[in-house]
Amino acid sequence: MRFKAQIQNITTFTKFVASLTSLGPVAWVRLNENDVRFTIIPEQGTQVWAVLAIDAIFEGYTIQSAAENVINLEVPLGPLHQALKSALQATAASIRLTKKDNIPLLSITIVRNSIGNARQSASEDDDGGIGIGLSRERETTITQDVPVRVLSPSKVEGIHEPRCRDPDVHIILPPLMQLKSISDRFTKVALESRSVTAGLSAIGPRLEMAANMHGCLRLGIKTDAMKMASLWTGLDNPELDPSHLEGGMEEIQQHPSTRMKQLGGPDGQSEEGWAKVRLDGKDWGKVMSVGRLGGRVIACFCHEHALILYVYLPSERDEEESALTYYISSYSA
Amino acid sequence: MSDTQSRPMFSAVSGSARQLFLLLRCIGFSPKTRVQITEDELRFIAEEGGVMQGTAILQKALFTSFQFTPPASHVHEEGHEDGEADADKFIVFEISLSALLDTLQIFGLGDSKSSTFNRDPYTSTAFSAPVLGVTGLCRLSYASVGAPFTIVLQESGITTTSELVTYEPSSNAADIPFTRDQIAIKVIMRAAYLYDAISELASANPERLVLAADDSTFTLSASSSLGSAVVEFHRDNSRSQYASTVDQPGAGVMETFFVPEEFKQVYHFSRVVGVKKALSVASKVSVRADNQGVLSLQFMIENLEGGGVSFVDFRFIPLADDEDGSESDRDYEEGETAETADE
Amino acid sequence: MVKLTFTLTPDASARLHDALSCLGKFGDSVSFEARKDQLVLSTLNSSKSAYASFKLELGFFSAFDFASDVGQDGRFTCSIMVKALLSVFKSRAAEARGKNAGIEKCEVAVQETPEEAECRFIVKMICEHGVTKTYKLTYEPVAVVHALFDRNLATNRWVIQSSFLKEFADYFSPKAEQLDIYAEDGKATFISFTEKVMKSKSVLKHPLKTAVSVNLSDFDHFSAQEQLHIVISVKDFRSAVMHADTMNASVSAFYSSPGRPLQLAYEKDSLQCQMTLMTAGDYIGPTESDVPSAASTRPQTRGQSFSASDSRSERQNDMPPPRPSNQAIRKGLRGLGRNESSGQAASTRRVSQESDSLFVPLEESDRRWDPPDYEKVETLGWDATADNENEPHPTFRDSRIPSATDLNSNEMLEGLPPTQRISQIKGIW
Repeated sequence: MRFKAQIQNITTFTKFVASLTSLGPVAWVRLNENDVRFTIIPEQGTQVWAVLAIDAIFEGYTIQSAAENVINLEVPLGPLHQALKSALQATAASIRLTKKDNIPLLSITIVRNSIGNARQSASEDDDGGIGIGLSRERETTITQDVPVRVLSPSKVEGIHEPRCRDPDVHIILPPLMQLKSISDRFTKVALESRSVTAGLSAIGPRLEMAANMHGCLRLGIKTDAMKMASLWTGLDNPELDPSHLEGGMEEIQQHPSTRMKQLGGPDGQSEEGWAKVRLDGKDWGKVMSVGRLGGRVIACFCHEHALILYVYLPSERDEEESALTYYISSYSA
Repeated sequence: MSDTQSRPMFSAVSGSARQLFLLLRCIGFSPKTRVQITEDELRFIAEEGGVMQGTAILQKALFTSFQFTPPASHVHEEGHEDGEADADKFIVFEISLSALLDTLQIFGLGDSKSSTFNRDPYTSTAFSAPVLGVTGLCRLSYASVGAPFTIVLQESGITTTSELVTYEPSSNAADIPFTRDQIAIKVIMRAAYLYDAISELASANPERLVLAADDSTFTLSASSSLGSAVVEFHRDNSRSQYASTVDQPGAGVMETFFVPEEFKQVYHFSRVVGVKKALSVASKVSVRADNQGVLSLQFMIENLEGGGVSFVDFRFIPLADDEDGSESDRDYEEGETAETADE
Repeated sequence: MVKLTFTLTPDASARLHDALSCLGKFGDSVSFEARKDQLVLSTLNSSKSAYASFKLELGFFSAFDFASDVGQDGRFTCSIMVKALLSVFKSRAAEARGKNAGIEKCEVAVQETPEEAECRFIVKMICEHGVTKTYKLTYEPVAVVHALFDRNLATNRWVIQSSFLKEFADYFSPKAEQLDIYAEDGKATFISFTEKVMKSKSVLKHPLKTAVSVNLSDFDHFSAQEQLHIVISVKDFRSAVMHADTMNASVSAFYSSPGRPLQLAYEKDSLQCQMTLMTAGDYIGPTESDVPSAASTRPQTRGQSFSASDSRSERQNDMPPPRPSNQAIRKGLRGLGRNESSGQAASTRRVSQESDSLFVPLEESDRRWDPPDYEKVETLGWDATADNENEPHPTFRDSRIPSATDLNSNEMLEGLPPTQRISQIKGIW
């Protein structure tokens, strides 16, 4: 079993891992010849299934395993994130799967110019003592060992990405910074009001989120002392691409979102044609952590059922896109 | 909300939610606030334990439009038959202060508390902190007695509507009396100095704050298990025993210093510390105590726009001073004379 | 009566804050020891495995007046809670943040009133605009104990800019507990790790293990035995390094062998700082009777250093882990504040014995008469050459403090400042 690669886009990889870290401590990582997949399935809360195109992050990617060159690992995200953070200033960084003291590790080796570079050192060289090439003379090497567990193919074969019915409304979310800032405030309000009437309710604060096919998104919360809602208008409802649907144009005609679009007035302010979900405020706050990647986010609303977010990593190359998919269940009222 | 169509009892528009937030945050020590609306101002009164009271006054001038129609007759069924409310032409109710503050800063992340998410330079969008600030347009309204107190904020194409449930004010809501014409001490100083002094004393987490003054010095002191700390403000720098090595003419920090006779009172430290937010935004503070020892702290806060100033007012009831009962008479009866008039 | 008064500039007051804040990371209270020409602040951590001291020389003060007639031994000692002092002496940052009048000077007076129970440590901050702040703190008179460390015995030493060490510390996991330092092949390596029994389930919760490897040429000076692993607590290392970095100082390290203390020292502008830390470690010495080679910024030859690494060449990692014989390290680190379930009988292992504490009861020295533990010598590959160094002074340890029974000897108190030379104390044995 072999895996090693140069990490060429450390910043994106670090942000990617940071986004996932908020959702769960451990990820199932599946490496193969085409891509790297990170999946987090927490006992409660949002699932995320992420695909990284190899080119988006790595260089010189090599993988080998008895199981058709697929390696499945369980990786603790906190330590991985910490290790990657120390690579942000690196001149070079690489990652490989190795074993020390019988523990499998993802070992990240980081080379950076030592901070003493500016200092003049008169004595080296002539002494001829150290015998290390001059170019490496001023480098600091940092090795970060992240302990992992190797999963056998049988252990992961039963895990499948959730399936969901066609969404009623799909919409491009406003900048997540806005959305996060407002939803975090709502959650805080709800938590505060609960602490006043402490213990009365075991349920976490519920945010109500709704959108229509006329570019409107609404986020709201209700407590004993107040009712609060923010409304965005003028957002984009992306067109469905007939080439991606089996039934082509005909299926689009039948698509629930097409029917939803017929509901509600053109200004989108009517109460009809909205698809609504109820989210756990704290869990949603964790999902919003993905905003750091700065990608485009399409939200798909299945009314009273689920919210699915597709977060696309910004990339220069348009081919194989890297994306994170969040599956968020709606709570009942 | 039957009468929403008709003209609301109260409505006002401000160009700066931030301005309202800065003033109201000063009294944020309490989760609830009493709201009193008159033709000239909005008054928010918060109190704690009957010994501390903070009042933030939003004058009409802070709003671009301010309209108040006092109810023709008082509609409350129980109580208030005395017509007091009618006579004074004001309405009063209670709302959640924390909910109000959260609403006003909905577009901002509050003060300096930036999450790691926010600090990330890569996510900076047109809406990150500086732009998505609390500067937006803000409409306040109260349709009728019993209706919610409604705030509508608009910024960057986002409209946020907040409806705060209004409650009847609790029956024991009475102001802490302060006898303006029987002043035992009056010191006006730059707020930053008092802020510094209180933070200094707060680090040891003391229980009691002692305010004292004589003809030359204004003193704050506190003690805790760790020891004692005293901050002294000398009225006249040159008379200070520890004269400054740097010669600064007129260097005292107090612009008004009125102490007719030696003064000493003790207050709950944890309560007085509640003025920290006010101290941090105020330019000047007026420290007064009446002859009953009731402490009044008045904060002058410069308005963000259009010049002018606003005021936030705090009052504290003193603690019984066990060690030195000479000045203590805790019954708030009028009658003790102080031969000096205010100013 | 006033025993001691001194005056500080605002800058010195802030530097005192930094020192106190560093001391606070080791212990809850700080000991003051005044003499006619210096003030020493020190603390010993609760597990007695780390000792920090800051010597403020006369140049640190704007004025310093010590009533030397007090006490028979010309010293005044007391102890004060660190957090009380930290509420008085503010950091530069806090000072800069304050919108208030700045401090102009800081006067400290230590009073002793025999008739009153409470002793007073009085700090007066004189600020601009006629503002004064006065603090009265209580202190306890105590006998101050210092860890002794003989640098003559510390054959391994290096010097490096604090900024390097701070950078290393930044890479370590905040949860890592131990730090292994060793030199090999012209590089010095700092490995932070946590020694825990690993069950397969908990492997994923294990903190990051970080190895930082730098060229010896990054050191101002480096002469330490190759492959000598010395293990200290990451937390203590970090506390020292963070403070050294506020002073922008060069940090010197002195140590002899695992199980004996290591000292970090640095100084600047009349402030001398020393942290004496207990170590553990696993000494992988040269095989057979090889003369131990020294990794050095100016090594004479490379041949010998290779002989050591060659013997381990079967492990061809580019970053070999510090081969801890886990047991030895865990035992050895008892003194580093780890709560070991100590069902441990009086250990015959020298390493663990000595690392229990910096402070060894006198009886301990008796053990030198015990039969040598041959087994240990073999398994650990204890190097005879290194051991011999200490033979001429079998009762002397790198550190030793006067225990209570010693304190009746004033001469001894006088004669035992930190880093005392052996020759000075020979007489007492």
